[in-house]
Amino acid sequence: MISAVAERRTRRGSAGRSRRVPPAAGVVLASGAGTRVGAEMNKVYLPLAGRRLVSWSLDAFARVPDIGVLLLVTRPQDKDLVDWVLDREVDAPVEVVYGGETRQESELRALRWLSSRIDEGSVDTVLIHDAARPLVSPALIAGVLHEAREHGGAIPALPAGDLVAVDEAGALTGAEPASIVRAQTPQGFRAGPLLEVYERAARDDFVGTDTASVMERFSELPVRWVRGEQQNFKITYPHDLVVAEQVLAAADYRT
Amino acid sequence: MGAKGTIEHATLACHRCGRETRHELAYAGRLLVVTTCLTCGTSIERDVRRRYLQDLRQRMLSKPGRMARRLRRHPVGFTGSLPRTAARKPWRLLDEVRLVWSAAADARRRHSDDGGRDR
Repeated sequence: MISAVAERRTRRGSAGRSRRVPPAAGVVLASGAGTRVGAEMNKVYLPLAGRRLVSWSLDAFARVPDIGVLLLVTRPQDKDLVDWVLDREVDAPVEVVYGGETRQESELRALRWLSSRIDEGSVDTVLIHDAARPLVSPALIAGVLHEAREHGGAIPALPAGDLVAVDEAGALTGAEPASIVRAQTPQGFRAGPLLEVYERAARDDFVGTDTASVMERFSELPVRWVRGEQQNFKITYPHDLVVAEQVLAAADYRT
Repeated sequence: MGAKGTIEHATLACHRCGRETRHELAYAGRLLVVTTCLTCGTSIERDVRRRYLQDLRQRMLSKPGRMARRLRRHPVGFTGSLPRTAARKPWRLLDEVRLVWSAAADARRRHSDDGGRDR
């Protein structure tokens, strides 16, 4: 059950758009990073090129016309910061849901929050994105959405040409790992099967590494990969913030 | 009192510690100037003097628009806080300038130390 929710409506609404297909939902996860280590401040609220990290992702999703519902999954202790960010930096309507202890639990809470709209068919696809990847572009989001609608599921990834295979003793085997890609987010799936699979994973106590791994475990839905973007990297080290800032400055502060 | 700019804290991975640690980050305007791991003390200082001046000019040009937007959204709160914010602004700018120039000096010193070892 969702512990608490808040809904915020600001100037740009989606009402009035005529659509042939139901809108998709974008879910931005901002609840995980600090929770695991008990940190005082979640890195997704750090400033990056004049805005908070999380608002770059929200803005990218808001610029994709087919994204009709935008959800931010956050921690209760970040409420004031979230209110400030949504008021000062985000024009789109954003629904706020409190996440759980793990990434997967947070995803499940977001899906349950959307469940009535999924059941009635007013949300057809869900894209789940890690807020620690602030440089995701609207083009990539639209690409993942298109593939997910077409095939059932889609994840962005980059070919991992720098991997080598090793044996159990740690020695190089010389074999080239075939078809290995580095997964990114947003990961998109048809909404109905996604909700069903997450409920089943919760019943079976299965914990996957990401959204796609949970889908692979419980669903036959084909998952396609689309080419990710080099700039869609995850902020992990302090240096990543410097690189992200330079990428944004070079692009005149647009993703 | 040393120049600090705007200080934020967050958990990020540290190359030297090999794990996630608490970091302090110092900003001048839109630019990240110094990051410091509070566990091992590893810091990154950037020489952003030229970019800071460009950024400052952009911020000054966009300030009226940003103020108008805040005034539209929160007329009472914005008007009430304006005298205090305006009075503090010169000091904040001075603090930013001191941070940027002091980090640039540290970055240059570090660069020349590294160059000396290489030779």
